[in-house]
Amino acid sequence: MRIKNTFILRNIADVKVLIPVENSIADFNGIITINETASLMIEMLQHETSIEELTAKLLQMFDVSADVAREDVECFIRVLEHHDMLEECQIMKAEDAS
Amino acid sequence: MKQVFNRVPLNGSFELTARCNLNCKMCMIRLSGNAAQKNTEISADEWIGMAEQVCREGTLGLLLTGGEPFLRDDFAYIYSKIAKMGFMLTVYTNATLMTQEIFEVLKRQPPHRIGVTVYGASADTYEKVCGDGDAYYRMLDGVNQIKQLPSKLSLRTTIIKDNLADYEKLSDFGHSFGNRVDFNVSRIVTMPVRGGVSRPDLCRLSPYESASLMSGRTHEMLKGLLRFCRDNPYIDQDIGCTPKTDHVGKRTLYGCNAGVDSYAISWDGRLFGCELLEDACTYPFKDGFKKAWEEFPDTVIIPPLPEKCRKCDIECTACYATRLAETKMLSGIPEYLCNESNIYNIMIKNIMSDLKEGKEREEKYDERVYTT
Repeated sequence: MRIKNTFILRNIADVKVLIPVENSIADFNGIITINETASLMIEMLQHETSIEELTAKLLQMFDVSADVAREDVECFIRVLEHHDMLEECQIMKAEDAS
Repeated sequence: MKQVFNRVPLNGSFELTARCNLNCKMCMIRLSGNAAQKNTEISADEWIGMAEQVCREGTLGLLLTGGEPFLRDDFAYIYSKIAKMGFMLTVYTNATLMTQEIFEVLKRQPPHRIGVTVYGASADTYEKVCGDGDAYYRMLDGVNQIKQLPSKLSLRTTIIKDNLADYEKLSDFGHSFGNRVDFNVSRIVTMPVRGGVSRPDLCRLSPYESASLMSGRTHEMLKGLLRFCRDNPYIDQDIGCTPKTDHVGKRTLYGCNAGVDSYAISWDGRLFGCELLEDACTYPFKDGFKKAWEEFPDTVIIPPLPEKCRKCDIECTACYATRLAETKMLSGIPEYLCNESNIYNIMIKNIMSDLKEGKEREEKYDERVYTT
């Protein structure tokens, strides 16, 4: 999965923000400020990335357990999926299938 | 280098052209001779390159404006490149030159906001204000197309003597779109800047007319506010005005955001604090944006305000930009604005007094009360 290219990650005055462009403006016409952890994941999601890879990155960067990291990643991905910000949805698809 | 606290070029405007297809009587920037200017404008690729630079330096809000930006043959090309960069993008247009090519690119990559200037509610008024009656119908067609976009739409107008009678109809037109469209009326029509050739002084409202129009709008707003603030002893209207003490603090240059977190780049490639402030500039196309932005404060020299202004306690609309436009001096006394602000303030006090006493303000105040 990867983040849609209609959300541009920018650094504005040392704050990371996501800015919708093109068709994404129809759903959300504003900016999304993100924290350090989200920024790290969004940067990885600029390219094809898996939940496992995102979890591994959080484990590498932060002092958290594998369970907590995985939970955080899944929670974040769920938010992105809910707002239709990903090219390919993994969690919601899996939930739909089960 | 002047010490200015933490400057970041958050908001910018690109004046893609000073040319316009309309000849509005009150235009601030219209020059003479559209054709000659075309040959000296910044090229499309230079604007795109400048957008890349300001993006790197942290500009979030970018306005593409003119003149009339759709008059550029390469507007769609410039726009399509800049719209991908991740700005909160705004386009200002008079909507009379919408082509299929421009509409397609706006549909594919809608800006976050489009500001459409409207000058009247009939072809006759457009003829009087802009010298082009048919432009009214083209504006209606343009707005009908623009409102299909997901962009926020602002309808903007400037009221002068020639379209004053259309004000209610314009207001109704603005509000007919519901909450998704806002309707803005310029408070003050200033004299032209940067060599502009129009004569707003011949057509703008008298200070009394302007204050009446604006206080009428404020009256409606205050009535709404009062409904929510019944318990407050008063409501303080915050009207922008030039700081009266030594304004050159560490956080501002002109006492506002100009040159601190905002800038304007003109059609001929100069960087100003705002589009009216022609007292100081740097050259971003020659020196690069980063250098031009960093060195801008060194070019700004603010003289002390005149004693009359320092001692005056009226909240006014005079800022350094409007002082400069009106008097050609940063420290000049803009009599037109002084008079308008004086009258407006008295009107607002009267309105507040009436509202607090539960009176509806139906009668029109006598002009002589305010102008003698």
